[in-house]
Amino acid sequence: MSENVSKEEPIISLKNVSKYFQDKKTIDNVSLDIYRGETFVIMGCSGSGKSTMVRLMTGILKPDEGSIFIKGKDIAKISSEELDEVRKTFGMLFQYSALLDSLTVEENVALPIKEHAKLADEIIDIIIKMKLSLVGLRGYEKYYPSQISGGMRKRVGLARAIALDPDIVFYDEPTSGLDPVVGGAIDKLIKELSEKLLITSVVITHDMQSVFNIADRVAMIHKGRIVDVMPAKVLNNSSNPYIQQFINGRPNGPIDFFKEDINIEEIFGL
Amino acid sequence: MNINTEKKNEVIICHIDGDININTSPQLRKAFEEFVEKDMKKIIVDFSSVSYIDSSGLATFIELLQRLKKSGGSFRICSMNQKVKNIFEVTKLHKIFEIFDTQSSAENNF
Ligand SMILES: Nc1ncnc2c1ncn2[C@@H]1O[C@H](COP(=O)(O)OP(=O)(O)O)[C@@H](O)[C@H]1O
Ligand SMILES: [Mg+2]
Repeated sequence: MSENVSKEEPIISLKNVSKYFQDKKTIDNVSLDIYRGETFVIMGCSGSGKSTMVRLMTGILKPDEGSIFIKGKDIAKISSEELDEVRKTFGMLFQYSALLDSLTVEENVALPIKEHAKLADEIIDIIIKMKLSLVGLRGYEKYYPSQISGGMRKRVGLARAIALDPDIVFYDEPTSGLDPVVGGAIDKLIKELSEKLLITSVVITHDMQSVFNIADRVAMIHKGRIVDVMPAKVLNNSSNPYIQQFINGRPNGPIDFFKEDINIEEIFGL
Repeated sequence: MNINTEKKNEVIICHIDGDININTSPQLRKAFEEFVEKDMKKIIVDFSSVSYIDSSGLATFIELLQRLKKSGGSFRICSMNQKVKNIFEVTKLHKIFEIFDTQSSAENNF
């Protein structure tokens, strides 16, 4: 998947995208192409701009500079109706998009279907059963989120994300808060669904294990800049010092965790 | 999407032309409801002009299967292209439907 893709038209293409919050350039001149069917991982430390990247790609935020093309359409320039149409082809599993606790598993999965389509209840019920069986949760229709484990809740989120047969699914930290075994199971499921359903997956994570489990290609983001993009299988051999520091979890290197330029007077308002 | 039906002896042959998706599957469901109401027991669905089927379409076929099971009828699917076949396979639904390569093979011994 990772090789020989360059001749194709990318399904997602960012061109010189920048985003400011107040005066701070949070996303800094990012250009990136993602191809149909690949699992593309954007990795980076907390605060590096990963979630902002997904919000830009899904049209939740608009870039201040540059263009974001999804299947050839610049989503910053199209009407909100057109954007809605594009977003119907997305699935999203966001870090904090928790399930609604007052709804059962099946009602949670039904939400996007009812929102976007006029289908008979009998048909929706069948779709829910299909989706829950794809994520290995057959029989849990009537459970409430509080009655199932964290890993199962993620699976429900995944079933909800694929409810409308998306061709792109965005995942923001899909394994965060899960133990390594459950996280590994979620990774396996993401990979399987991508391959079986021919979904393009964009995964944001700081979980290195997850990167090795699922990525076809990887981009590393640091302070809002893409410092490198490469096939996952050459990650270990990369000489890029950012990549090296990140995958080995070293405290010292070009990624500075503690700002050296802090102004101690400013902190105390002096 | 267009649906054309023809009757051959007691078999209804239903030719579908176009994508079966969330916008078109309700129309297909309506056609299927009619078949069941009219107590048609043998239905062949010709997929030769279908290039895509989504989950709502698959669900519509599952419902038809459920209804025919109750009424003692059955249906067969024929002439799927490879892409559509893959969709049935990844969802494991090829196991519950009777799928034939050609219309004539579907008509055989029906
Ligand atoms: N809506 C916002 N308003 C102001 N600052 C924001 C907003 N969203 C994110 N930021 C800031 O942008 C930076 C990147 O955030 P984020 O994209 O959430 O990083 P990550 O997901 O990599 O942890 C952080 O410094 C964060 O505080
Ligand atoms: Mg984040």
